Amino acid sequence: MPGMRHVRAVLWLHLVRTGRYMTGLVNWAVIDGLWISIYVLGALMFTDPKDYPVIAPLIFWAILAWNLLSTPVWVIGNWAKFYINIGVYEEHELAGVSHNLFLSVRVIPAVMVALISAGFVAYLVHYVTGTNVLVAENLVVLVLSLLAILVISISYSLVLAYMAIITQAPAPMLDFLNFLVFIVGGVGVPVDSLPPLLRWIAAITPYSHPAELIRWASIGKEPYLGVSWEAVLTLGFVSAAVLLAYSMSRRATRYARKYGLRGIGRT
Amino acid sequence: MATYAIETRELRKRYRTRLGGFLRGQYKWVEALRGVSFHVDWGEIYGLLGPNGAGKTTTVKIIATLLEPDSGDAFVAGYSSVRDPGRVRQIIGVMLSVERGFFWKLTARENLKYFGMLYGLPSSKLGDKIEEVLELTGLKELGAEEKRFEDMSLGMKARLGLARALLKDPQVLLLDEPTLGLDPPSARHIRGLLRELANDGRAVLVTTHNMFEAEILCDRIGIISDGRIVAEGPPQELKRRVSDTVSITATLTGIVAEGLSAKVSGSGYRMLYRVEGERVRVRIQAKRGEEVEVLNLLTRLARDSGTRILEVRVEEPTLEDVFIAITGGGRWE
Amino acid sequence: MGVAGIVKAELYLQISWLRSNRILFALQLFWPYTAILVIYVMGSAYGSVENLASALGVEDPLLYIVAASAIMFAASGIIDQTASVALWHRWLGTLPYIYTSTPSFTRYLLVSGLTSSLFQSAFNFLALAPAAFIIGGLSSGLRLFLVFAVMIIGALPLIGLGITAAIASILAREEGNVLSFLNPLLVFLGGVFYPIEILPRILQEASTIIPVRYVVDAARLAAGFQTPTGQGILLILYSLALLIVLYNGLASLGVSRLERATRKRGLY
Ligand SMILES: Nc1ncnc2c1ncn2[C@@H]1O[C@H](COP(=O)(O)OP(=O)(O)OP(=O)(O)O)[C@@H](O)[C@H]1O
Ligand SMILES: [Mg+2]
Repeated sequence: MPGMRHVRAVLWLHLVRTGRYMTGLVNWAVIDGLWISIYVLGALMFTDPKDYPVIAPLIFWAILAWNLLSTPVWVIGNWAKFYINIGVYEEHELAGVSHNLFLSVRVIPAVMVALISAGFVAYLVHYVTGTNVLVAENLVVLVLSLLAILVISISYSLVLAYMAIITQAPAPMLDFLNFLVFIVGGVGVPVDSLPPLLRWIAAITPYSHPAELIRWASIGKEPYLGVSWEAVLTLGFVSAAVLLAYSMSRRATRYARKYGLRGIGRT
Repeated sequence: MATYAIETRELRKRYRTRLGGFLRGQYKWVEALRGVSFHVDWGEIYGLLGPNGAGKTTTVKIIATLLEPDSGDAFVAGYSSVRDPGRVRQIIGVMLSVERGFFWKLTARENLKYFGMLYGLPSSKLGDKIEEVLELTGLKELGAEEKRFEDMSLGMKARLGLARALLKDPQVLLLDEPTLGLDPPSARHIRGLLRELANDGRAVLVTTHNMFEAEILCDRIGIISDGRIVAEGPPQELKRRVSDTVSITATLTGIVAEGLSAKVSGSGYRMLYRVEGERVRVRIQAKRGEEVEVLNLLTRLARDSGTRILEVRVEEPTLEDVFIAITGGGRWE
Repeated sequence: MGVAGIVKAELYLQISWLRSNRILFALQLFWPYTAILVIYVMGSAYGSVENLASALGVEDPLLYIVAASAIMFAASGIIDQTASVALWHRWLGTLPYIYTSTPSFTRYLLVSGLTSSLFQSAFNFLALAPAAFIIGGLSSGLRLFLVFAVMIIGALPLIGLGITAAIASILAREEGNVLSFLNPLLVFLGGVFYPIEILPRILQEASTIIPVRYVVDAARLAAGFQTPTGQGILLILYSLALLIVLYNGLASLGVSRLERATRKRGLY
């Protein structure tokens, strides 16, 4: 079956490349961790130390969620630029390989960066607050919700990559949205602590639902819309994101065959 | 075999190019191909020869199923590149560029292994096949098989591109400027290899803007200019068309090429020129017996504009003269 | 090219960038506000401004956050401007032209670095000035200006530090990595949004040679309970002066090394 063959080859490639770029990736993770810590420690100064046992895990899981939703934008979305500019897009087209497959497997380095940088933050938060941050009341739901965030962000990154093929604008120009999502989208802070208007915005932001479930699964904080609604909405958004990515991939490959490929960004 | 190895019928292609800034949506259409038809036989090396922007790459990409033509069709072994791309991809081996299309941090062998896996070569055979193409392209001899792509010289990268194209044992090879930027020995090696492949019955389509190479490598040549095939035939036959002419070539400095070109055509001669930094190389075509008049014209023009003539020669016709005779000359990069 | 020429060329470059790239201009204006927003929204969700005031020992925590964010962006901007400038010319291939256009590369780096740093800092502080006025009217505005004044002095060691890092990374052929570490490390160790005392011991020690730390101290004084005392400010200036000598000394040693190395090894 060509499908499995391609999966094996692409997996092999990305593992080899992850190894070759290891120092760069670790550097990146630490740099990311440093930047995030600056904000996280700043925010922690608002907290009354006796609330640390609850707040520290909340902040840590929020940061992990943020990492999982933001690194793929760079590792997958922005990398589309190189995929095209170094001329391998066409080679994969010729070999009949799905670009979705090729780009999504780059989630391997993305998750690696996300985990290392979150680990760095976890250590610091633990050091500063003196409390355990890896608190999970319901590990299964926690992991599933993190996976949901990852799937949505991979899909979103793919959409950005394909939009880049059509518009030639590099993906991170559109990364600004992610940053807003962290604050008003109910990822960085619980939805019920937002002003009413922003709660509505959070409700229509895909990431807020798995994020609410994460808070519930880690320290038992009741989700804004209740557990079952949040779960249903999470599933809904995950499916919608996957479908959107798939349809964009069809549009972009057709576009490339019709108008030709051109360089993306400042090339 | 009954069908041609490669055939194109009236290929037309326009590109949309954006003008101005990021948000200003103004487009201009560029006619890249205006009806390109030719065919390549099995066992034949066909050269698509033309200056920059003539439409060579566009033609190759359409045959290779990477681009859709606006109209017309291309066929490989009788299968349509437009309607049956999957079939076509199984038959062709493609090399699109000398220095792109590989992963930088992977070695030559690793890159080949990866693409071999994608092409579906069974892992039992893949190893042998890789050794074979490494040998064939001379990468082994250069000791380049364990080098990372980023550390390879241009010549090695070109050989690696060819090696990948050969992995599938393709019956039809589509090669876009396979010797671009290579030093003479490397280019010679690649040409020798292509000849061997053709002798085995494979069809080879190469594009080039190097007249000399086209002449010594190709069985037949299609001269492409501005999206049209303007002349076609074996090199010797093409040259016979201009056997009643001679050419005066000269190297000049301190002159504006366009101005000179206008004056020469004003006097009724056709001229082709290349700008190489400070220097301008010109090739002026004349009927046999008119050499002296052209030389006089050239010296007069040079004296009037304070130009220095570094070299002048009278030459027998080459492919360049075919191009000049057909297109009326102009600039050639 | 004389000093005035370099200054003019550098200012021209800075202004044309902002003019030709409106998006960049808008981003530079708004990023500091976004940073403030993130800290503020996250902080208020998990605690209160009163806690912040006592944790930092300041009277006006909002003004402090505004000033701290200005410092963070100015410091990063300065490093980007100076450290990156040598690398950036190298990547663009303009380094040889810079070499040949000026009698001394050192002078070029220092003067252009100083110009662009001042430009950058002024831009960041001006962008945040409205926030200070809204928080506490004229007096807050003046306090922010005081911090800006200290920032200008803090820019001097930062320039030296940036250039030293750039040179070290060129000589070690490790361009990208060293530099992308520098910015977050400076801000992180400078304790911009939190007291350095919460960090592990060894990081606290390291922060004594980080210029940002002293500018942050000034911001803390400016947002503090009393009018800043002369003694407090003097201590800050004294520390900064030591760092100016340290980093610019290193930088000028490094530049001559680099100039020799480029000619010898062709490191263009
Ligand atoms: N993706 C594209 N978008 C817009 N215009 C394009 C695109 N690709 C090619 N063109 C234009 O189409 C024309 C033909 O280009 P093509 O690349 O086929 O020429 P070529 O003969 O291969 O030239 P060269 O010798 O420079 O490689 C040129 O005018 C080129 O500018
Ligand atoms: Mg071409």
